[in-house]
Amino acid sequence: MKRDLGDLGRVAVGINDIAVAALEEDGAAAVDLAVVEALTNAILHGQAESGALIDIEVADTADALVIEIFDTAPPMPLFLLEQAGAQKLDIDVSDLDSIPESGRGLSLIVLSMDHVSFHNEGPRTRMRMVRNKLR
Amino acid sequence: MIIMADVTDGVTVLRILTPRLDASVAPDMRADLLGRIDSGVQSLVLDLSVVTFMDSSALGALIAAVKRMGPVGSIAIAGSKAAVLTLFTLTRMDKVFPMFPTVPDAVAKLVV
Repeated sequence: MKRDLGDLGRVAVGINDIAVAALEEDGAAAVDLAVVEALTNAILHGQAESGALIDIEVADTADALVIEIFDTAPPMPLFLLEQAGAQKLDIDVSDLDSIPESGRGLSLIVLSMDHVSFHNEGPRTRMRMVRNKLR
Repeated sequence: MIIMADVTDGVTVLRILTPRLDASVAPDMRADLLGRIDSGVQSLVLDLSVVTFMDSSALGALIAAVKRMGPVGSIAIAGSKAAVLTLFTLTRMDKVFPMFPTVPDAVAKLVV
């Protein structure tokens, strides 16, 4: 896909069509959220001026739906993935000013998928996201 | 970003007609909400019954709005579908934004 937020919906809906056929409704919705968060991160944090495309592969296996996103963006520090999760989404409801507007994407990806890994592979990165069919 | 606005019993109801709320529309949504709040709107219901998908960018627009409004006003959410409800639950934002099944339920709660 192009490194363009305007292309996000078209690509996400295409992947969601596969997810709807492969998974139950909740699972497909979770994959939709994870894919959009991952692609948004890739577009916003990547090198827009490079013009390099973001490649996406979707595999519908017997056990799971596997989505891999290949990019040439600068590698993400791996500790960010290790720290992501429900605890990063805790908020103090009594203090609205302390609630951040952004920074939830990676934790939402981790919570939506059964397995998430990030790989630095030479000049490119690969994010692998797996949603199992039986949970 | 398509929004229809209506005022019922002093409560502004915004019907969001864009089915997918992601980073491509979040900046417009944020600007629209902040503009209304800066113009004096203090009770706001967002009707999300048409919205089938929402991501953290769009959620960030709502958070910006509730922070701008502060304790003097209220923003409630009505008609959320399952995927949107899940986003609010995962991010604890169901504790910040009162959630209602329908617009009339939300308006009734916000009317002083």
